[in-house]
Amino acid sequence: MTVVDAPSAASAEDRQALREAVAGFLAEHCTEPEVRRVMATPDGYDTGVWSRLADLGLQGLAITSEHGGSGSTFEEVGVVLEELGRVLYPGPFLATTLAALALADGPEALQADYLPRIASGGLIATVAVEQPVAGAVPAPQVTAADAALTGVVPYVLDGHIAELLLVAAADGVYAVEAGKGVTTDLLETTDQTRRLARVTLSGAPARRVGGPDLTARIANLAATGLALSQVGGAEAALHSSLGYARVRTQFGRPIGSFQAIKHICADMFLAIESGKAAARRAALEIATDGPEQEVLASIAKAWSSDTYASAAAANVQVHGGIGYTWEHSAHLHLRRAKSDELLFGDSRHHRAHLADVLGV
Amino acid sequence: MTSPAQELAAFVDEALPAFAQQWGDDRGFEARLDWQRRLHAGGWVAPSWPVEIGGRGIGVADRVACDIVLAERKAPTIAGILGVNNVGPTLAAWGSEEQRAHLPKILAGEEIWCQGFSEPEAGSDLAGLRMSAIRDGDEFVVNGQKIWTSQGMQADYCQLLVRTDPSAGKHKGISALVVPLDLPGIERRPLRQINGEADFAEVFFEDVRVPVSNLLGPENDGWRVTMTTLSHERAGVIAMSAMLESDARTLLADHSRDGDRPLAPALRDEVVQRYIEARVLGVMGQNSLALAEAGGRPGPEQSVIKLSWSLLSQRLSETRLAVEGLPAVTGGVPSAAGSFLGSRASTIAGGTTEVMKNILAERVLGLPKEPS
Repeated sequence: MTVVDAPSAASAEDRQALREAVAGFLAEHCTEPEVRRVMATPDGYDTGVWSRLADLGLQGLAITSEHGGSGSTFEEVGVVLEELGRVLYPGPFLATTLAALALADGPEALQADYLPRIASGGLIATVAVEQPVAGAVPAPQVTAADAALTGVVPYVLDGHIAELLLVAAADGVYAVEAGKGVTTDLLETTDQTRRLARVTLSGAPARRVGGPDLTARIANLAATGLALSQVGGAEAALHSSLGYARVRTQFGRPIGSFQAIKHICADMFLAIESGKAAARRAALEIATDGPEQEVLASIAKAWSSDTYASAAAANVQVHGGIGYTWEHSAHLHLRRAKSDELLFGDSRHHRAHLADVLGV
Repeated sequence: MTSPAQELAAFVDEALPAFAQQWGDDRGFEARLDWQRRLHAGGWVAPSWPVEIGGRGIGVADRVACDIVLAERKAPTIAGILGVNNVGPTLAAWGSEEQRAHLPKILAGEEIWCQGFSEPEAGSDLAGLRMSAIRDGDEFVVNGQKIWTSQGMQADYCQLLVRTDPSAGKHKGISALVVPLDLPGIERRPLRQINGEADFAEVFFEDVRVPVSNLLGPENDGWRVTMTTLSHERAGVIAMSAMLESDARTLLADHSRDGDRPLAPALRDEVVQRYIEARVLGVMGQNSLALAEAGGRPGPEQSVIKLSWSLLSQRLSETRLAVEGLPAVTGGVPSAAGSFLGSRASTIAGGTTEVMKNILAERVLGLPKEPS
């Protein structure tokens, strides 16, 4: 079944239908026990679910129809990212989608080689870009010479399973296939549902995709995409808290009847509704190729990072002792929230970036 | 075709300099009354009111755009703001023919109205109000006290909430009355606020006799009558968000890195965070506007916007003080300290932040009520 086949601008109703279809699929195939099973596997993703996501047309959302996708916009991609974030989906959807979007700005030959395979679920891809460390994004440590890349990218989303890497080198973005000249080391991630690997390139054959402006575009796509995922996760944390606060009784009454708990939940709700508005607005800006993509991406990532981190922590607090146990899902969100917060820049990073962009 | 906002802008650009020539920086009651009369001459006091009662019948989006035109030009607030924004729509919805006859005078600034809602023992818990109105023939005999009555000192009339049935449930025994404030037994005292101004009054009622025909809406249905007013706040909330966004943009523009007053690096993070908050609020306002334009009913996003606005307006004025430094509290930056002090009201007036969060948690998030 392919959910998405509309070639152009989807309406809000279409997006709602997409959301329900994705949520319905995930409710069956990405349950918490399933997430726990998959996160304990070496590769950290389930190949069966991955190909079924492709059957639903999700990997092809951002890919044009001539390359086997449905030619939807980043708004539809965003719907999927929110829903995947909600259930802590462990797998390379974000990484592959970012790579597909970056490729779409590249030469036609590269698109023809890779995009149809991505759309069919037959190729896992990622973006290998520098991540902020100690408050700054280092310059790329990869250099290109004679159609080959050499250097290190320390933190690469799903780098251990990616068959195609879009690598940000000093002078622009290159496509590198896993294999010759490419070594990946899976890192010990606090969040086992979102894997990172260190990628070392030693004369890896590379084809040029775009210049430094593409590196900047990837940063916007990544910040916005992850923000959407964070918003979904934060909403799941809130709903978990609400469910528990309605039924857990102490002092002879549901704890949700105490103002202290109500205010924690209301604060979460305020931040999440705001984050949802910010992240979806940033997605719209990308979808329409608007002039404020960089500003809105940073606003979305700054807001959603803080919101998910505080919602996940508040969720532990509302659950009390039970929220501190391994068996409860609260720590899965807390781990995801803290690692997502730092990935592609935390709120401090994005505020500093905004200060530069806005000239303040 | 020009939009209402463009038309209003053209009008204000002509009317405001004439006003300023006469009144300078004076924004006292008389000055604001004069501004209302000038606006009225152009038919711009209440463009969102239906045409048949003197408005232009414009929609939410145009109303927001008009509010922004006025705010951006720093036009004075009209003297009869409560009558126009709150009482008028309620009179139009519930009033008798005689009561609706007040509407043109409200627009013209010939009558100033206040709302007698809060009492010393009924603030956040407004439905706990006690002011008694006991039926005596064709009249109610009213006793009690109102407080925080905005424009209570200048008002000619009051939309007064009273308890007409003390035996009924809290929300059920309340009625709304139209009360001329020159009736015998009414005494008013000004309340000076945190910012030095005196916009509030305490209003005391001692055996005040109000004709039964002054009931606004059905007897004992005053709570529902009052809620009419609140649903008219939607456009106002959206416009306030847009204005706050514009304030945050101004703060940034005033302190650009290449300008005369660049920010110290230590302040950048805070200022940019305010900008982010204001932009996000602005997006929510736009979303709400789109929903209104599509004919949707106001939903929880209204409370989210209002709560966010009230918290952000405080933080923004605090950040402004931090940015301006001592000049802000030594007369060097005229509006900074005043707006900081004034902004303390944003988390109190019209429902405290704490009570609004309780309501949100119960009605939107489905958490259980406090046991009574």
